[in-house]
Amino acid sequence: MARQFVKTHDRAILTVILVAAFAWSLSAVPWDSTVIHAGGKAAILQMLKAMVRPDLSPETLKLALVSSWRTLAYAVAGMSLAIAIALVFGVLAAGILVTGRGRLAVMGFFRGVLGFMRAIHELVWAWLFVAATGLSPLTAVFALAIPYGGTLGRILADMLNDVPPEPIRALRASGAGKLQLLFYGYLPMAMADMTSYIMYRLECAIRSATIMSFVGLGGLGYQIHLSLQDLHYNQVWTFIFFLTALVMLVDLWSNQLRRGLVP
Amino acid sequence: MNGVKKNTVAPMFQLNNITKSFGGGFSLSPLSLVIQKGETVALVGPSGSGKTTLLNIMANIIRPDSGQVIIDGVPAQKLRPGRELSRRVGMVHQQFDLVDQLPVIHNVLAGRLGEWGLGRSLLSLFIPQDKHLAVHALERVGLSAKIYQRTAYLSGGEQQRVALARLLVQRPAAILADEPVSSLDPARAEDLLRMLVGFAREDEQTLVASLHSVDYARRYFSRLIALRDGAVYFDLPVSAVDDGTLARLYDLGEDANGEAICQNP
Repeated sequence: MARQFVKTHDRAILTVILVAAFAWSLSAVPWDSTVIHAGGKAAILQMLKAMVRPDLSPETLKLALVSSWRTLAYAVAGMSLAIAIALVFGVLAAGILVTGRGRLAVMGFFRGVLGFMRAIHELVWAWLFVAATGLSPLTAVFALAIPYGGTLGRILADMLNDVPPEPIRALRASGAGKLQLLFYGYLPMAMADMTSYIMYRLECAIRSATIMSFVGLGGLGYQIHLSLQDLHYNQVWTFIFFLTALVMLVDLWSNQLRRGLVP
Repeated sequence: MNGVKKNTVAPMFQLNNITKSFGGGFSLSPLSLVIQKGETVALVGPSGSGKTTLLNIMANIIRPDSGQVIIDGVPAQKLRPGRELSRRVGMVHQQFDLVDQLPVIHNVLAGRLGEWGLGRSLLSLFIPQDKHLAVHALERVGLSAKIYQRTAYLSGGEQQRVALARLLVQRPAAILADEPVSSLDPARAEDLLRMLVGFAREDEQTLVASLHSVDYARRYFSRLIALRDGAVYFDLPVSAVDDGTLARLYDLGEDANGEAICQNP
């Protein structure tokens, strides 16, 4: 009887437990003045005020423009390399070029490699590279390309595996070999989805490139970091608005591209 | 195809005592067939009678459990996929099985992939190779105007004609068609069948098509092979088929084996 009750209401019971846990966790927060530190309220107020009055002086705008360009350049360069990595590793991980006994081994190996690449965050890769090669633009590009290549490659492999089998079978019947199948069947069919996913990842890459520049690699993140240290909130907001505009532009571009690709 | 070959050599398809069974209890019983070069054969019979299985065995897509399949004088297991097979056998399906994302011309020129190396295939995606073949094939199926359109934008009937144009470019010795018109409306279905049979006769190709409609089979083909429960029920030139025989094929099929038919639609 009791077991039956639990079985039918398992979701409701879990919800109640989770809500209770959350409510209980609130009691762990010290609800006195220490939640926000002494100068905190004033600082927040200052920041909000600065938000409506960003620094629009020519020097700041010029700096923001140059920094945006640099961040975009890191992101695009990183993504280009990531796409190249993803194409090679993704196709191998999808197992469409190998048949017979070795197929599972090849698939497993390259899925493993892709997993390793994306298991490590781009910031960690950046630290590793900075330790080895110093602060250089290449460091940022590689640090971005490796984990992004890992993610893209994995998604590409999944998309290639999900392609409808009938057109592939028909191409094979026309005498197509494995590589011909790839270029006449698999890739065209996966292209639309892949493109919109790449565009989404480009947005992510811009955010990552921004964070990366906190490490000292230049770009919008570096400027935000400097302005924050100097308590120039008006400048901080200028840079943040530029970053937002950058991401929105990429979104616009991606919509434009998708319209041309999806039938 | 040259006419000399037709008269001298082995039959296009020779099946000796083939069997094939699937998990669901459905099977092809020992079945033997000979189809000569240049014949136009319609496969008819109730759903689940084994038409698709038989076509797939003839196309060397699936192997029979036992028995021998000889395609154009060569044992099927010796034919490697790729050019050796694509020159002998081409296939059309009910769902046209084109790559929707590619322009029509590349779907048509895919019929040349067996002849081209990788380099030429890749180049063709940018500068179409053997373009005259595609142009000519699309003229024959009446789709010249759509040569650069994305295939997904074409109607079902047009897509089936693109599939046909691919076969015209591939020029296999035999065409196997699995329910080629069952997803088209009657007017388009007749158009397509007329083309399919017409092209096969013009190019001296062998044609084997499975059909739902016995009416179409009698009108366009020269030989009818009826399957029931995985065995040949009759195999007659079209002139020898009468209404009584056909009625028995479908009636008996449903009465004697109604359940099995439902399980294997």
